[in-house]
Amino acid sequence: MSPDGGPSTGLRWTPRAWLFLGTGTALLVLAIAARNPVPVFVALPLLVAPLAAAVTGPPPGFRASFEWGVQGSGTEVRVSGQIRAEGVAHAPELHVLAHRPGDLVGPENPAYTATAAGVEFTYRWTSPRPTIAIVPPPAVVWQDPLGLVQRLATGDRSSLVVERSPLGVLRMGAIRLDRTLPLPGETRSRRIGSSGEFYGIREAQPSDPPRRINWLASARAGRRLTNEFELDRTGDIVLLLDTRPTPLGAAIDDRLLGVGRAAAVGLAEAFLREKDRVGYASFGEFMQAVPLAGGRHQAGRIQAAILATERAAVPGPTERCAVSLGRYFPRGITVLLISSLAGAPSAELVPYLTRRGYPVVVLSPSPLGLASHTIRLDPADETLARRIDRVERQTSLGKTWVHAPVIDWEDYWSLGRLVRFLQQPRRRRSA
Amino acid sequence: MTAPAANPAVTTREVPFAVLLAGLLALFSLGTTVPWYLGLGVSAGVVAAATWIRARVPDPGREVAGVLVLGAFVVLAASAAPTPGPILLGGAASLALLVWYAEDPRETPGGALRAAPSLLIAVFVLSVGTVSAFFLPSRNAVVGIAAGLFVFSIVLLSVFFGRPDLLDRNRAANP
Repeated sequence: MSPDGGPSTGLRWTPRAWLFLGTGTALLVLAIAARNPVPVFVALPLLVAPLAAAVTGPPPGFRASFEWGVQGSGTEVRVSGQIRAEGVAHAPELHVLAHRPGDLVGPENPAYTATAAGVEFTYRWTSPRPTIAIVPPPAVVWQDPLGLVQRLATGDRSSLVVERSPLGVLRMGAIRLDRTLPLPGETRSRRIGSSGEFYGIREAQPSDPPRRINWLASARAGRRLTNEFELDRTGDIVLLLDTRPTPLGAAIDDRLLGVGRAAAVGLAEAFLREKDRVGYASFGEFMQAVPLAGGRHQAGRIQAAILATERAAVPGPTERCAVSLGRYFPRGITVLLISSLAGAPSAELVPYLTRRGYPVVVLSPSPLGLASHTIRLDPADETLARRIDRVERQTSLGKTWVHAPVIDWEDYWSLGRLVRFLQQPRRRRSA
Repeated sequence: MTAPAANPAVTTREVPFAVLLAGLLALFSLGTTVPWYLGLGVSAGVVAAATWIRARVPDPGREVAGVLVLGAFVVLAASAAPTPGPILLGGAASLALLVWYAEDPRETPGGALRAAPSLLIAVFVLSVGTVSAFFLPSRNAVVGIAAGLFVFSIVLLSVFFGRPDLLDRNRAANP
């Protein structure tokens, strides 16, 4: 480590350098033991090479500028960027060492392309499930062409947020949520949106749902036109993420939490886009909450809170969650609970919330696709085991349905069932 | 921090360097007590296997490639006759190994060229040792080589065991 507490910028010897040193020393010992000069001459290049590589490298503390970003869509995650360094004769000797988040799969090492200005690199990862993850600031190192020594570059590095939300939320449109604002009467909004009083007609966009197309006007004009409405009210919603450990185990819990976090980010952005007020809370041992607010800054606050959400080591009592929620959010607000409902504490959470006056909708990511049996079964038994798992899951969800509607979320890339449910306020209220 | 590896694509550009290494290793084996056909087979087989492993096996298993070749070097050097031929060919084969290492199929092409400064230093040291062993007027040259190696070993050990900063060059106060 350097005196300022940061990572050391001194030389690092790679395992290959130690291999060279060990072999060279063994050859020297062999030469002395056998009184034979041949091993000495074989050993000389092996012993000199690491030192020569170190001497010809850049000076300690050399700076490297670094830029990177995320591209790709769907399951494809392409992280690419560029490195430029001062004091390095050959750009291809610069390497980036980034830590791949656990939710993503793919090679640990990037593909490099040397350019006149520096080195371009590309990590090609895949996101098998929706996720939101941070790629921490990477290290940039110079490594000699023989792969014997490395030196860490200095410079500012930024972390990267990789977000892959379920696709359904992108076309969610307007959802009439219950309002908990204490203002009497109607609160008109200046925003033009997809619900409320009729405002006018505009050119249709590809993202517009068919229901909003004005077909008569489109037929007259010969092109697709869409109705626009003047929003007259905002709604409120709280996204509650249950991060308590379940009997499924830490690995499955982490994957389900990753999926739940991605859904929460996507849903928050979708509701905020419609000018709703959105709050966020996560409950592990204690509650962490972002109070209700609207606007772009709220999206950033919620995303930061979701990124900081981790699986709790110790589960907090269910009653504590319901009580804590009352400290941050008024009664009557719609709570969208994201929980696998695996285990008794998670299943008990819904009645506690409803008794406290919160209408709850449960989005329950299914663990069936993630769980793998430790015992190898033949195909017939495997099918039977899956059917039993499914029946058991349906039974546990059915118990929760008594208190609140439950969306069994099996296809992680689609939130269609949740969106269709939320678009029917009557069903939501009656449930 | 592990040694980074880059492009996973396997190319054929390292083949000439593998042939060079295998050829010099085979020539080196001719100066040993190992039968010529065995030396030839070991050289070709070990280098071919090492080249394949280095191109195909992911980190850190690909370092086994170097272990294979270095193991062959140790075996051949142990059975080499103390004559000028094996001395020259052994040193040359060792240099060829460095060139083979420099042209890594997972790195950007041209590694051997970029490693030229390091390789030239190794060539220089080997040349000085060889010339002093062969052309100095007395057998005392061996003592000189031994003294040089001793000093070199001390420096090397001090570098490797806790003082890598010995090689660090100070940054200029006013760049």
